[in-house]
Amino acid sequence: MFDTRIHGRGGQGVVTAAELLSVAAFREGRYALAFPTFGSERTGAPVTAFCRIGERPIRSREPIVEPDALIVQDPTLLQQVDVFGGVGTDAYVLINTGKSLDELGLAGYARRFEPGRIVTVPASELAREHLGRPLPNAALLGGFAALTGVVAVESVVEAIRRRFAGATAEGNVAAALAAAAAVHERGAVHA
Amino acid sequence: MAHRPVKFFQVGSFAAGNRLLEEAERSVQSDRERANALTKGHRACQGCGEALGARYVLDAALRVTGGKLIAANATGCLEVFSTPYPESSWQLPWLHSLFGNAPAVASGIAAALRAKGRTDVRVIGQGATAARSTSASPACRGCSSAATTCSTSATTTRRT
Amino acid sequence: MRDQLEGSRAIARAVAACRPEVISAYPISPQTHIVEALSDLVRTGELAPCEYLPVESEFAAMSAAIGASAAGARAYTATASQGLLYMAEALFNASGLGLPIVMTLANRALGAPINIWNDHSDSMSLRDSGWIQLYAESNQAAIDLHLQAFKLAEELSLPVMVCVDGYVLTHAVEPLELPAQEQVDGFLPRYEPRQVLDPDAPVTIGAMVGPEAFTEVRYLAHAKQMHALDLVPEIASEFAGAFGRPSGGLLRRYRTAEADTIVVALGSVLGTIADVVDELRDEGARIGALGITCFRPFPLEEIREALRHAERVVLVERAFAVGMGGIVGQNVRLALQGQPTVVYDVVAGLGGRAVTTRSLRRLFADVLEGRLEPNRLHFLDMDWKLVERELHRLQERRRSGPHAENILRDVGVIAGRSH
Repeated sequence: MFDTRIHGRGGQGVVTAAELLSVAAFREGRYALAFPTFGSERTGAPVTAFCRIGERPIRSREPIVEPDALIVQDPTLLQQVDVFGGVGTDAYVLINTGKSLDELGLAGYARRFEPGRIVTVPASELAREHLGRPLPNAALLGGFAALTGVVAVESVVEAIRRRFAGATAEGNVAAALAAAAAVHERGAVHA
Repeated sequence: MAHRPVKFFQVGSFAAGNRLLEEAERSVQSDRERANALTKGHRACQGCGEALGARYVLDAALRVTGGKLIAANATGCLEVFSTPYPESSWQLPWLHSLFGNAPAVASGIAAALRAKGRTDVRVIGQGATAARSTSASPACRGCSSAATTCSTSATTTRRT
Repeated sequence: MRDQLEGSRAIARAVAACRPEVISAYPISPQTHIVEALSDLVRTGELAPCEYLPVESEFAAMSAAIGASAAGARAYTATASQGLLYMAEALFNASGLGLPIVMTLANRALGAPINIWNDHSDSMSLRDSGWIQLYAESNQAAIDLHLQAFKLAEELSLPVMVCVDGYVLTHAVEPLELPAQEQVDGFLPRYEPRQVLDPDAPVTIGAMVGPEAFTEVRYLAHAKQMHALDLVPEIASEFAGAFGRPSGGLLRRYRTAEADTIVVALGSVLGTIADVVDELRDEGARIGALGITCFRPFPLEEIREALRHAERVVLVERAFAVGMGGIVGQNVRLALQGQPTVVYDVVAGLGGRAVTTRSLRRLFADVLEGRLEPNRLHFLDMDWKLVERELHRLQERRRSGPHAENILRDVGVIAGRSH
């Protein structure tokens, strides 16, 4: 079982990201369960979503407390929410930011991780460039696929095309591919 | 049916008696073509205005719909006196649900008819909130003012 | 067809495949996605003929369903939590009149304190409203139960509530098998009402019944529900034949063979429980789980039989009766009358608190090793410090303030006052 937790804010497509990831895994013939946890608030409120991927039907409905991978869609959450709660040093961490880990004040924390496990990618900028809007979720999934190898980038692309149509689909696909390339460039590539 | 003012005669021999009168003098009750939606034998008080009001409204509605009519009744005196177990005075399909929901029930019936393509059937629903106060009202014997609120506020549900 | 779908959307598609003719609903979280999807299917004409009534309240939603059902239409609605209470009067009316309405309940807590998250307080509060209550343990079960619910409701002329855990199931995306339209058409015949408002054959529905026959009419409702105890398994086996997968039924046993400890629960928590049961079985514990799919009517005999050899029964309940204790527990105890079984009542997962593998493991270990006191009410993951602080405040001063605000301040969700 591979457990992913996604942190973001209402309006950033956190729930959609978990769903897209589950669809990507489903298209690879695997089992996946995506589910969100909501506040009763709306836009801008911290939102967490989960995606479990496995080779057998998934029965457990409990939230993911010890994720194998973490996606942080909004770095301003680092000061507000315990996003790293339950994250082991062998976990993958992908943070949406144009800043370096050092600038985020995470350099020390990152050194505890196995090399190449904690990575940043400017997903909002990539989304703005390719999609015209700073919606980082699909881009991050491209980066996530490149970082973890849990799903193929192609599966993420298929999931995006299934969910969106026309220019929105293609913009998101381009952003996802660009994010995957950016992660590759950082040398943090799943073998 | 030509307009005829409602007349209340005391003829001493049920309503049929005034069929012996001149046409112009006869009451609506004695009309041979009366639909009689709410027929005799119910338990309303003598002179009950609600019973008369309900019957006039429903008879007229039956006339304009050619008898293709369904009624939704709110809880209240009308519902109570017209359906004492095991009898019913209703000569048309009739549903009683609750105090405050007759319009919503009527909407549901109308929706069912639309879905089923029964465009020939119409629905009549009783004004509902008035029924709540009426049923709790101490007014009874021969009272018409309290009771007519119920039935004369009856509304037909739009049919498309 | 197998697809990766959100529970709500899948339920909506399953309901649509049952060809409801009237849907009246008022949106409320976490039911919203279901009725949104259905209204979309009506708008696009994919579901036709069907009238979608966007009503002004849940009371009106159920009332319109009553009217529609009495007029001979297959009627459906969905709600949750406060919405269910708001239609409470109409729930009793629908069942009393014997109208086969099907309703999805996206289970959610009841206020106060206001809480939008999942537990079973809502459906449990109306367990005796005369509706048949089926509980889905997964989204696949939710899909399958809806198909069976329409059949059951119409066979009996009684309304059926399909209870689906809010958010945990309604908002989960997972691989689901959606039934093909032809399959559903073969399984679920056209609705032939037992009573119908028809100008060509007028009937009076909803007559007043006095002491001379009220008991008899009420008994008929009971007799119909008791008949459901036979029908539910029959329909489940017919379903398995038609769709090739087991689903529904009164109960579901999970590794109960030779189990001396059986965990009893309703709804989605059974998935997590099954995982824990597997772990404990691997470690040599003789533990199993019993899911109650049909809670009303209550399958007393079947539960007695299923628990006959258990020494210990652990109830994991998503609601409780204040001033009394476990609700499912009361019912299960009745089934165990005269048996030496030790029963543990554990309230878990109220108002959306996650029921975790870790907590369940600890709980079952406590039971297996005799550390949990039987015959008293337990609360999983209770923060007793918070409770004790508030109880202390109550003793300390007369105007101790509102519980919810005090406790939220204790846990630091809201800031303390400056004065």
